[in-house]
Amino acid sequence: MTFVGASTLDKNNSQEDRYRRFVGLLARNDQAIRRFIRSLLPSSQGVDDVVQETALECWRKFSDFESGDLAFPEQAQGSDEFIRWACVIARFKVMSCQRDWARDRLVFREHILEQLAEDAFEEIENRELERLAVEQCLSQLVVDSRRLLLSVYRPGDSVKRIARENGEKSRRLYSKMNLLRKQLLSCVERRLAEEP
Amino acid sequence: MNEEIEKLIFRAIDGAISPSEFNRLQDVLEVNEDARVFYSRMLSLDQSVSEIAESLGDEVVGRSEVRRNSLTGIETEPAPSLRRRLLTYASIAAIAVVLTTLAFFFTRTLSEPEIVRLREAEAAPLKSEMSGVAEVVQRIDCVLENEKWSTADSTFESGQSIILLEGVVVVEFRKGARVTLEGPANLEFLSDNSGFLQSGKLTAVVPDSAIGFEILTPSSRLIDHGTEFGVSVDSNGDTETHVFKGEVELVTSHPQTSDLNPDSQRLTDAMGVRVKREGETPAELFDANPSQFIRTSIADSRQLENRNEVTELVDREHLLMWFEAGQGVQTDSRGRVISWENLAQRSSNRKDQSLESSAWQVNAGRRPKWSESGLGGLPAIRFGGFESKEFLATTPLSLKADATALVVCQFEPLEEIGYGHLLVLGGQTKFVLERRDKSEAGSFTLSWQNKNVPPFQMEALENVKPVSSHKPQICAVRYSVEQDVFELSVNGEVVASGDPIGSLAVTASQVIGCGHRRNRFFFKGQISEIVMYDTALDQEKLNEVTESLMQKYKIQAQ
Repeated sequence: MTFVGASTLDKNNSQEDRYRRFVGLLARNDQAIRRFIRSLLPSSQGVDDVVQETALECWRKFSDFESGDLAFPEQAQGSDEFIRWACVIARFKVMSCQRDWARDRLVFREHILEQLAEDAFEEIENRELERLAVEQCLSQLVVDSRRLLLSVYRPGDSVKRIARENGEKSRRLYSKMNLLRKQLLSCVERRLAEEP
Repeated sequence: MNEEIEKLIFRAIDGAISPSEFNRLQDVLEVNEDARVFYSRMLSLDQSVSEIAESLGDEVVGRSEVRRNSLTGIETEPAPSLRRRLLTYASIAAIAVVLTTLAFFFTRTLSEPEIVRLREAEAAPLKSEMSGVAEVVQRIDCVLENEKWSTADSTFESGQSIILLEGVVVVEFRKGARVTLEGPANLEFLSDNSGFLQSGKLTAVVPDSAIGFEILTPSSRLIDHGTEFGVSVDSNGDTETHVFKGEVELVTSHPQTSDLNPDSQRLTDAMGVRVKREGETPAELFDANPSQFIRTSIADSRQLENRNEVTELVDREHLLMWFEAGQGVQTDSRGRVISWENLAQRSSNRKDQSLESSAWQVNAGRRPKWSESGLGGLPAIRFGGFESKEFLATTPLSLKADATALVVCQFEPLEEIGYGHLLVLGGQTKFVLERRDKSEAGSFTLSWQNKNVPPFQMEALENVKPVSSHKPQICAVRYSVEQDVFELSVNGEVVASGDPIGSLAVTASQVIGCGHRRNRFFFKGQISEIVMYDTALDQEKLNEVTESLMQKYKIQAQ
């Protein structure tokens, strides 16, 4: 008969704690990481793949994050730091995936990708504020405009379909949609600029 | 931003962009920071709206089970929130993959795969011989159509055109004529001493070696006789010529009417003439107006200079930036600032070419306003805050590890709490001097920040005692890691200090009047003078400069 030694049990418990902590951080911040990844890709195609690859790599490197060594000596271990840390990994994952996809998909040139990543890093901490500002600005739009803006995100809906339903030309509706987007952006930027 | 770029960005965000359009978009994003910021902001907005739509689910169109289309009133059955569920599933799937992999990790140790892959070194571009008839010698916030397929070459052969979408470029013809082209514009190179301006605006400075330099337009032919002049061609092909200095011969030719007997006339100093492309309307004479044009020659752009009030500066050999609103300011016809000359090189006698710089605003709608009687009765530049989004950006300057900077400014009251960046230095790391304000009083905040690459750090200083919005102030900072100095002073009094973190060294465009991304933190108030050294002055020298500025702008110690 063999016995599992105390040290092995401790190790497994500690490993389980780490696992719970990691999954907790990942689940809480999944949307922010996904958003960062999307900002580096030309379309939503491939986002899920990169999210998975990033999640795996984050787990592999999680001890670095916890111990705060290697490239992240000053890191605390909070949620915001986790997002930033994960996004650094995500950036390299995107670069790596893009090289594989270059033959059959649209991919950004590497230096543009880097510029976009730099912009996206700066926006990480503003995501909640921005989301709040978008909600507030959306609520200020007249009902029809808000409906038009939001309805394209509904399953099965599209500008084309709405245009068909309304007997309007898609092109005209696209223009209207884009105008609304610009108005919304302007409103959001104004609100963000007023934030302390 | 032009309509074409906006359309490309929207098509990309909607997933409807074609490969050729995508290439075009990348060309634009590569060189046009405004476009890149707009793309990022729009994409981010799109994601936020998408998240909100998903979280609202069927509430998007109200609580009703039946969806009524807003435009036609057609009712449709509500579809399940499939996309939202798919997104949630995708997130869970990603985590699930991790979960299933954990067992593997629990039982054995894996060698960590390399995260960072070395980028392939880009092949060095082949440098062609400088055999063209003209070459680009300076670019200011510009987008060139010629570079959209990444075959960028700064030299042009006869028959080639330069199509400038935005901004300003300076082109030098082989014989020496120097042309400043203001976008949007289209200029064809005909020879080493002539060009055809299809549309847009240019100014030309012609040295003796290039006398006889010619600019053709759809309705005119201009032959230089040793001069400086400006030409603009509107969308109808009508041409305006403004002679700033010297003499130009104007030959008008209308192919349909008088081509066989072209008219010729001499235009001298300060004369302007308008020639229609179509019809037989005679050329119309008027006074030349240089302020309608952007001029890049520093020597020629000093429209407001030789004032008596010159600051007594110490350690001039360490001056990196010296902007003084009474000197070297080029304004447009509305009194808005096109460029603000960096006086550092002239003042320090340093031979560093990079100091031959200016702060620019090529976009007419975002230029701050020059005021002759600003702070302490001396000239100032007024920035209008978020409403007008005005700012200036310098040609790239090289910062060293340490710095001392002084800004003479005055806040304007705000209706709500606001932030405004007076000066943003740096690239990846940023050194930001900002106004943090509530109505009638405000404070200066100084921060060193690195938010882009790990380790992410920030150290911020703020004066506790608010400063008045009704008086000019001198805000000064000293920064040196080596000397362990990080200090913020207001009107000669040290109001906050902290620990320096890292070097400021970078070569980048520095921004005056808003955040470095140029889309927020717009400053509302006036700036009269900015002095910056590439070293941390000792306290005594800093006091000396501060004292000089206080006397000059009649500022009392608080």
